[in-house]
Amino acid sequence: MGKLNRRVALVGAGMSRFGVHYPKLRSIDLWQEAWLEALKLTDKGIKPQDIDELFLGNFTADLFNHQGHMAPQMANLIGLNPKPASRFEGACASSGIAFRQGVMSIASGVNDVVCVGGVEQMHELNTEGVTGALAAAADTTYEYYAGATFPGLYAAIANAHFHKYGTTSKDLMRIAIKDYENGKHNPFAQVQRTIPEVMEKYRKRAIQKGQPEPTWKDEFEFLESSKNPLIASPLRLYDCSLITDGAAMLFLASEERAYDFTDNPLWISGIGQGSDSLSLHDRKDGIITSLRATKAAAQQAYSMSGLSSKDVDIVEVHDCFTIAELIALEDLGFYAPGEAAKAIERGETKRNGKLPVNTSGGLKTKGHPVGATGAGQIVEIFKQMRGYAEGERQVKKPLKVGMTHNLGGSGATAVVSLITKEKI
Amino acid sequence: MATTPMITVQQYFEYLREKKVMGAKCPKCGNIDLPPRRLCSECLAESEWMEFSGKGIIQTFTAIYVGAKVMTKKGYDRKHPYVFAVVKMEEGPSVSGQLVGIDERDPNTYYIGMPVEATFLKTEIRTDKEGNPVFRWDIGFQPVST
Repeated sequence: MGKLNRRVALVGAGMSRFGVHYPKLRSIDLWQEAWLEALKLTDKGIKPQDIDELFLGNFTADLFNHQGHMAPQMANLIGLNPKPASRFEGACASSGIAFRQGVMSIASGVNDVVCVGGVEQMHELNTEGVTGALAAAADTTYEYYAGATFPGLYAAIANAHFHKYGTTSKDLMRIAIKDYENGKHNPFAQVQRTIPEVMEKYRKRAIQKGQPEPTWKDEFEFLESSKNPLIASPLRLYDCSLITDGAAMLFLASEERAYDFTDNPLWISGIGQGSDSLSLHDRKDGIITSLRATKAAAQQAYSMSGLSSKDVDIVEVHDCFTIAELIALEDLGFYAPGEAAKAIERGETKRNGKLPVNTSGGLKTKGHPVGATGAGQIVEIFKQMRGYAEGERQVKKPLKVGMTHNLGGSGATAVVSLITKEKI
Repeated sequence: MATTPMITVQQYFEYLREKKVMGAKCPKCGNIDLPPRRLCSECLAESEWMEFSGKGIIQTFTAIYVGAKVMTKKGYDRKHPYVFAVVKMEEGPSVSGQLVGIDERDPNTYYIGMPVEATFLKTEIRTDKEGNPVFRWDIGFQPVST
């Protein structure tokens, strides 16, 4: 138990640009763009006839676009019919779950080569509609009528963390500033602008309109200003991820087939998945400053690979909100509970730091097309480890072990993957 | 002798309508659940109804400025946030509820550890054939009355 019966390689990966695409681009278009991008980064190419099965992550095209039954539709667009195609749903962890299923299907010997992907087209609804659809990932029976929203649930987690460990809003701001700085260098990100650049935009606009020039002395003052309104206290606009249309795609192969597609495959050396109560109030022993599903998923991935948090060179964590990034760093074992904020302040999680975190810009700037997010995180780790990250974003130090952490809801689903350069 | 109703979501809501906080207690291991569950969350034995005092303390909270539709329909907006709270009941389990009876815009009027008591909040969910409103009742919280 807890082992892959044979090795699984990641041989290609790519994503559409994440952004506000509807109606110009819809799921059908974004998915085909992801195929073309993934082909570019599959050294020796891949053909539909090479692929045995599709594992698709999508949260709720049903609610966003009135489209169910999406896997055969997406399989059709990339020439996979009549092969098996299934959709996996775990809220924002949908394509993380699809990835794990794809990995296990190769490890078991059922498949040799699979396509794993994710797609979500959210902008067909207005913000209120999107918020309503996303709320379906929380506990409708007992949380929704108490007024819970996703920012609200993570804000409640943040307040509990502040109370227990003395974490502050300023600690969260450092995470946002860092992620915006990374997103600036990601040509596939929805927002490619640093916080100082956002401030400059407001300053210029004020001058143009003949309004008084803003006098923020630094990013923190800006992030405390009315330009960064409270969404759910203590979380403000720049603490939150974006509403996004996008698709991401990965190609996985057995060790026997991997070299047909590339001379430099990466290896899925550890993978794990955890679950927890949908509602925050039902968490075991009342613990809400830490997510048990993340810990369980990480433990499985570490144990499967024989690696520990000390071996990880780069990580993409599920930063749907700044507080989620901070807690993930503690739950994944990088820092003791209550210690991540200090490490972030020391700059350890910056691109050139000891542990680069969310070099893609994270869900906050790269974007969060919920069902495509998990696959999108693996695209970033693939690009970084293979040296394909665009421009300044490429981490300079050698990257032997990469990790992804994908969450669903307020932590009811978590998927953790460990991707290595060497076979383990 | 009246038979005891089965532990269901609907029966829990019916008790809330009667302004009673009814949880569940496991006769086998003594574990207590709120909201109630037919199967004990610790040992999966069949639980029995247990009335709660309604008292608890705020475990965590947030003032929500961009609200759920159910709340914006009640008039809450960016200028008038509402407070979502998770309350640890004195019997042990925690439950979600709206916090009322405080000044939502003044964060000094509510805090983690604050003693609160249950109140019962109604929401119109639809109208019946005659056009009369149909309500749903939920548990909410307010500061303990002195």
